[in-house]
Amino acid sequence: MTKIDRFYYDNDIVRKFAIASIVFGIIGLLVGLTIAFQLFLPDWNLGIPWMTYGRLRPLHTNAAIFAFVGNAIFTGVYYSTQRLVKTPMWSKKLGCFHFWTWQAVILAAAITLPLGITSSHEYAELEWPIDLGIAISWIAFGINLIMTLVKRRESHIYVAIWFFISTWITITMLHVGNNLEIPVSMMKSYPVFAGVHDALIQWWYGHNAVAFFLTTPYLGLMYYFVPKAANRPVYSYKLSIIHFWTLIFIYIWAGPHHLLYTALPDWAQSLGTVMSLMLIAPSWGGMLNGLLTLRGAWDKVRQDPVLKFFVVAITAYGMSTFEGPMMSIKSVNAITHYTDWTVAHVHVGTLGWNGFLTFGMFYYLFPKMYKTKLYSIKLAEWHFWLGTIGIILWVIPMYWAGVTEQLSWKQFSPDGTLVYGNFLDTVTQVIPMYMIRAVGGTLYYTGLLMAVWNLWKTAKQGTFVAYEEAEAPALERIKHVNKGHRWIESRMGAFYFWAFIAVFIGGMVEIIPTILVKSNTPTITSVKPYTPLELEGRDLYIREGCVGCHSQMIRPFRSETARYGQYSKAGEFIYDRPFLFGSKRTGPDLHRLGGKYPNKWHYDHMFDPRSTSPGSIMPRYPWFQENDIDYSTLESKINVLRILGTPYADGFEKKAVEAAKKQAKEIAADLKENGIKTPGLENKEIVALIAYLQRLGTDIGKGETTMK
Amino acid sequence: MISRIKYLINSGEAGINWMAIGPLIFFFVLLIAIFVVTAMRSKAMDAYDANLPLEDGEIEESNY
Repeated sequence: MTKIDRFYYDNDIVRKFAIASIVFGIIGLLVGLTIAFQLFLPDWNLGIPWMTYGRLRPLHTNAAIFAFVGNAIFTGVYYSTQRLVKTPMWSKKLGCFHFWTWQAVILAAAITLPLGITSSHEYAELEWPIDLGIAISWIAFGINLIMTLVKRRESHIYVAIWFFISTWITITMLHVGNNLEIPVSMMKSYPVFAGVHDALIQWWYGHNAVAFFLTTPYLGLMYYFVPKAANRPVYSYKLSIIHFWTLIFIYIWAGPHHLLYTALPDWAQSLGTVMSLMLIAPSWGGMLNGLLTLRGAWDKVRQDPVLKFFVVAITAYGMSTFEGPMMSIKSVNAITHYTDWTVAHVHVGTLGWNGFLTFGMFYYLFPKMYKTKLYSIKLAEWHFWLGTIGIILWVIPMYWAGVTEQLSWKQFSPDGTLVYGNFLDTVTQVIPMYMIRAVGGTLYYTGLLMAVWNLWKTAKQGTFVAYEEAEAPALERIKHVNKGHRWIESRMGAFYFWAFIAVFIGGMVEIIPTILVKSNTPTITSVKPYTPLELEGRDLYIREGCVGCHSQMIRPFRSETARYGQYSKAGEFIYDRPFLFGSKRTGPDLHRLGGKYPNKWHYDHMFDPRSTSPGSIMPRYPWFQENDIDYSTLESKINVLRILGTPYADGFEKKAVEAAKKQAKEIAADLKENGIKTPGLENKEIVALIAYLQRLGTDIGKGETTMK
Repeated sequence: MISRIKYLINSGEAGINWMAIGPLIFFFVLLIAIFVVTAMRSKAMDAYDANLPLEDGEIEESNY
């Protein structure tokens, strides 16, 4: 006779993560709303450095991805895994450790990013001590997940858990790969790879952070919560198997589509394009499987806000996973890249897919865990409609802005000159779109606040069940009698192994040849390392997050070379740690900025951009003229860069401060000649920044330039 | 046909295209294998596996 075990599901850890997700959702989305307003009200930063767009943007993206969505993922994983394998999580203490270390990482991010402490790698901006914290927390989560699966009472591992496993494996690999860096100080490091190599690894990470943090865990949640809410099994289990393997295998290859028409080797770009196009098939397979689960239950969708949220979430997933591959076609990417189209694409995914699936999950979970009904169905309906209209008002103006930007950038007059030669001509055109986007964001945020109130009242009216009683037949020993794919489905070790192989191949095939084959990055003899002062200026540029609005990558198009100058070559970036190609042009590209304007212009521009560029939406940076340059880590910076391969002479680190001060005096003297009377000017940060900006893109025009 | 394939392979930088073509072939082999093993699954197995979320062993269901 089969023995029946009685045990308890741990809802306490689920509630902890859910509350953290909601709290950080309120904060992260508020920061997003703030920077949305700053894009048409540049003084909205109130003159405070840590309130400035460049510093808040990474805070918004990190808070939205790793705090709001991250905590929501853990909420769903802890809830569903226990029930799918019919056993509580292996260790309650490890779960708590995971929870608190993850929140500590988020807190550290919330402090360091506004202070300008950033590695500048998009979605991986956190500096090395916090990277270590992420690794510790992530490993704790992984051990708890693995051990729970080891102790399971259900032989078959359900498809949702496959997606959780692939998430854990891939994020571990990406986090390690993209954070190979050497510390300069407690809060500063330089990446091991430079220029094009750094860019490829970053976008291998960046694209797959979207794939394996914003997509695969959410597909796992979809495969669990949609059947639960609809009270019917997934449409096709066979399709889910095909969906899983094809998706994780292909996704990892698609990173280079973020670098089309850049200095990345052409073969890597083409490979990224082909794989991105192939992604449509598994993505839509998954979307259809999710939507068709509701076959025969559409009457429920009309009445149940949970299902309403799920339907819009899955539809948004379908839209963004169709749009993504389309944007990876080189001719389409030539038009959409660097514009607000990309921003719209991202937010269809995050606001629609991640946001709405999270809200649906919370509306399902809170009444379950509190043993009550949802406080107000009507309020949830209001939230649904405000959120949906908010998304529409958010993304449509941004698509419109994207088209306006690119058409304006590319328009030539019959005499062969650019019609909109001044970049500001385009910026001022899209400001109304930015305003409408802020209205959309406000509606979405209002919906979020309604959800918070609704869930709070639901919790108040119910009784929380921290440990839910359950029973299941004991699984004395897993018998592997299955054949075919079902064999692997019940063998955890084999499953981890094959999932790792599937995600490992793509990245390695793109990264290893790019780095090892010398002809992929031909060096240019006239390109020299940055001077110490330029290096300090570059780090100030990184601190302020200038890369969020300015690219440093001129693509080989007539419209770009006519506007900015020679197109960018891979060999020009070999000393760039980190690379600063950027992915959005709210302002113009800066790669050939050096020597374009006098020093005085830069001084005035940084103090008040509108004094030199009427209509500019760039914030003011008066603190560059007030703060002294901090040379305390310069020696260490030179040492680390030499270790990484920058050809600074032996002993140069001892002379670096002296050399920097000498160059600073020259720039300060020029500024004084042009009427700037600031006391101690040669010690101010603005001088270092000017040194860097005046160097940008100028090496290629110096003396003999040969490629080797 | 074979000469055309050879031309395509040789038209790129030596070594690199092979590294891309290899995984593509691997992918299609994997895809076909997944289709085959998936097709071999019985309907009863599919039904059992697909119903796992609905049978979570909770003793008391909520009244939501």
